[in-house]
Amino acid sequence: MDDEPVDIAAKKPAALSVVRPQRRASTAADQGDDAVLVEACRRGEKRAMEALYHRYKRRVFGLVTRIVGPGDAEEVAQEVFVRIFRGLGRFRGDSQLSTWIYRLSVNAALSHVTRRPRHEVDDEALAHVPAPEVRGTDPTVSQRLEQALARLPAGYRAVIVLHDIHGMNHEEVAEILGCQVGTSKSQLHKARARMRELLGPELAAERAAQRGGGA
Amino acid sequence: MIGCRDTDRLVTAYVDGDLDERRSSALRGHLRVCTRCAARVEDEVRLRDAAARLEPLDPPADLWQAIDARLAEEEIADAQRGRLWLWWQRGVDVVRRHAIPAGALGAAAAAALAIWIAPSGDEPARRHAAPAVAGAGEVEPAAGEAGSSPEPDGACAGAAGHDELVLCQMHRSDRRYLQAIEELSAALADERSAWSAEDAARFDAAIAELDRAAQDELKRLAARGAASPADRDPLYAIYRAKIDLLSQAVVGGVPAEGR
Repeated sequence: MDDEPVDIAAKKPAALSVVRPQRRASTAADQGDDAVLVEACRRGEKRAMEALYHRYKRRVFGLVTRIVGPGDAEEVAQEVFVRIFRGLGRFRGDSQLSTWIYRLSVNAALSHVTRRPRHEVDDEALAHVPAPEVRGTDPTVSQRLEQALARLPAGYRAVIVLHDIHGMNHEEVAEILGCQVGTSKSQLHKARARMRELLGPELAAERAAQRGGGA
Repeated sequence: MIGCRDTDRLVTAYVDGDLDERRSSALRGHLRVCTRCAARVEDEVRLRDAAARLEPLDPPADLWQAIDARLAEEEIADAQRGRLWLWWQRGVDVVRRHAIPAGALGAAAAAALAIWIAPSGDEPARRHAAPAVAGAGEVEPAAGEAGSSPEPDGACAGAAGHDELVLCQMHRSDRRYLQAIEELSAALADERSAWSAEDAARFDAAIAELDRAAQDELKRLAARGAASPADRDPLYAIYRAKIDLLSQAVVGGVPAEGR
């Protein structure tokens, strides 16, 4: 107890919410569209392949960039899409197409990081990350978040990116990473604790600013 | 009674709504009196929400063209692959379609590879041929047909003398083992994309161990100046172990730990 008592529970509804932001859920229509696209891609239809690429390019590129860093992201994303199109014949629909694509992306990204352990992301490289779109937030907050994320071990990065940025639940994360649900939960817990350490001063400043603004 | 240690342990489940109501209530009670833990929860929520606001990123505009070009290259490479690779791909499809245990194709493949690798009609190296190929059935390629080697079968027929014949056949067996390994490795390149990084690393370690053993064996053979087919049996046993590992992985996915 290092600060004066604050009734966090009382101010929580206005300032903070423990209700997790929801992403748009994959609908039956999306899955139907995916199935049609997959069939057309298997027949080698160029337009369908391009449509599939455009449907998933931002998700794949965002995921890969945040795991391998911006320097290698293009190379790895290219590899992922080549694997997707060459592997579609083996996709049997046991899981959603998006889950399968995420799994290929994470595996390719983590394998890349494992193969090149010295090729770590640094601040200079992060300066070249295209500024992500942010909704109603100070861009520097997102930049600092990206920088802190890049300092995490690759496995922690993968869990935070899938769960917190792409909005998946632990069952989906576990399916993609090929681990137990409990492992996904404990990895996220450790990853967020490490992020809190890395962003300690910024988080403290935001708390202070909020108290000052609310006083 | 819930304390600061419990907050450390439960904070992620609490802010994600994964904590049951009784423990959530108790935790909220603790947060009312502990500013340190309240700040911790506040930070975690702030982090989580900031991460959720990060958007996916746009790839470079020319990425699709690069992917399209790579796909074209891969398809051209497929057209140039050996017949063993094509045969193998068909076998994999059959196994998947009919849910045949991976070991069945693996056993047939091992027998078929042995036939393919062994020289035909030449006594000195006949020992390497499989003694029986029952079970290989229709997937068995005929000797001399399955490979893409430009070397015609019986290329050693013109060898001058027994020693030269033996040497020629040993070199041909070496090449065919290595070609089989290369083609299976190419087939596996697509398969392993679905593996986790850990599984891939474990598999690579097993392959690296076999590669080291093969290198050691090659050094021993070179040091001894061995020229008898029997001397190469340990080396071929290592090659066969590698072929077995690769073929099981191509058909059945990543091998289980401890294999």
